[in-house]
Amino acid sequence: MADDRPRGDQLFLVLDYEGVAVLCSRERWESKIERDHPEVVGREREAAAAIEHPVMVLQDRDHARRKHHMTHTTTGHWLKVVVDYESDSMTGAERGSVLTAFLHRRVRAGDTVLYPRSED
Amino acid sequence: METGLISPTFDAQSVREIVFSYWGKHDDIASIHINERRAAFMIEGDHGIHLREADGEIVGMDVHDFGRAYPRCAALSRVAIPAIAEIEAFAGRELDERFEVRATAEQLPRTTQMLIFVIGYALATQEAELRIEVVGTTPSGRDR
Repeated sequence: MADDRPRGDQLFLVLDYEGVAVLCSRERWESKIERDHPEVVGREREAAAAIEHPVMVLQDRDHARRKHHMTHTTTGHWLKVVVDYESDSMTGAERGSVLTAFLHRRVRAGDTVLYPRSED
Repeated sequence: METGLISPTFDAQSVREIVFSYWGKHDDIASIHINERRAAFMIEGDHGIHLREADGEIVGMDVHDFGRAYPRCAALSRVAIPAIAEIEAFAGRELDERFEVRATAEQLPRTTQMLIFVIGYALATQEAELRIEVVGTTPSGRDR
């Protein structure tokens, strides 16, 4: 965890596989992600873990600044957390925010795998 | 919501009600639930379309880039543009801020038509993909 003390609306703040801070607000998780994806209700810790210790990270097919962080659930499915990255206008430092999260069964063929790298 | 890897089914006549949820302009994600919100697995497809599958049936979909890219998608714009106009008129809101609409299929005929068309399109695409697909993914750089 980058900082495990919740601040304000912050649900979690973690470092991704490249050390970039990724934030998920409580408002986003509860009123958007959990509301429209009931399958991830109560999975916020798994979502944070997917970013911090992903099994796989894929490049979004349509957005260069979005990455898909994936981990296995206890039920053997995939939990995918989509993170949108941008540069901080003040510091220029890159940061990410959780866009959405959902469960799926299989990884589509043809996606670009960012992590683990092929040479790892 | 647990089922195997068989292709899900979709009964167009089961669409009685639509729950449409737009996440706001920054996110530009639309979640469309058939009849009610249900826990589901996502089936990712082209054009930002993510089908929702529960108990072997399609129970809705998410569309990423709903306002920006979806109406410009050559394959889907003919059904997307009238549906977006209908949803905006029904809600009295434009695709800008977050809003939600719950309506019957009769109240949103063009949206229902869009939903049925897009689900059929995405299922056909997924079916074709599954036939071609043998292994999961291509690690970056491996095929270069």
